[in-house]
Amino acid sequence: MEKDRFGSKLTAYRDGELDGGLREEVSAHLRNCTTCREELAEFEAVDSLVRMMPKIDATESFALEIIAGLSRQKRNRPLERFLRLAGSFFELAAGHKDEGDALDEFSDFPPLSMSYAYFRVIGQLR
Amino acid sequence: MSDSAARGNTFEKTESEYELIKAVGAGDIVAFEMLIKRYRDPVLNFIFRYTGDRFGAEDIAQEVFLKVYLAASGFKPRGKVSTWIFKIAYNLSMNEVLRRSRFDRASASDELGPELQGPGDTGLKELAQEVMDSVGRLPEKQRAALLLRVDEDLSYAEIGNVLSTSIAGVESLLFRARENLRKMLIGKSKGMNSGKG
Repeated sequence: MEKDRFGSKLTAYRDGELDGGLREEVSAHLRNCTTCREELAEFEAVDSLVRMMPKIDATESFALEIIAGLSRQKRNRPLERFLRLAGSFFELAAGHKDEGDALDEFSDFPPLSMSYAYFRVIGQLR
Repeated sequence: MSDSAARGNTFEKTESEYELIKAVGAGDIVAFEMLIKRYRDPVLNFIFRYTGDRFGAEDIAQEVFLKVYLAASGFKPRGKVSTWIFKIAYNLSMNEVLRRSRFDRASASDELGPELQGPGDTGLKELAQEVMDSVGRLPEKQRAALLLRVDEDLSYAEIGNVLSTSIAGVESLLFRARENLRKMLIGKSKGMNSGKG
């Protein structure tokens, strides 16, 4: 009965998580109760076994892959992409043309034509 | 190049985890690399031991650090950085375990099966594998609490923070986890010893 009363307090005692009075109470009980002392020893054995579980090592490229994933995520932020595209269409609708644009060779497409729109958007996405 | 290496060494030796996470939040990649280096092994092995999936563990661990980077600027120093990182690791691992148990229950048990079978468990490797399997059979919160306590030495309050549970709840989880493992592992070895004698 006494043993049942302590239950989870035994493992908390072992983990150093009991304060003052309760710690003393469990400690006094352990001095007189062989069953609880055995149980505590078995819990300690369980912890030792858990520490034996296999471990793995990270691959060499672990950090590099995270940083690469980060830049991929930055590139693909949907809001940024949407704003860039929206900006392109706004410029297109306003009939704005950049001087010295790398796509100047297409500047003779009629404004608001599909070809003009296509190359303006491609230019913005580059 | 050498400047960044020197800065890396400074972070490694002198910066507290709060200063490190602050620098990460400001977008400092050198600080981020230091943070990864500091927490990579414990996070990776927590995920591996919790999910039991050697190959998936690294993917989840990488996702953890990505989330850490993206959320670092909002980190509030109310608790330890390590506890916060383990909370992210636990949540992602738990999602993975739930996803797997929903869609892949049969194949997951098939994967573990052959390693459990076989007559001898005398070697350390076999014993370690058997412990891994027994831990894998614990209810997920008991398993997480046990790993955070035994492997990572987190306090009950910190474990409660990771698992969103009270300290009394953690006490109970840890007691039941150890009690279950005691029955699975110690009871079995006792039975085998008495059989031999």
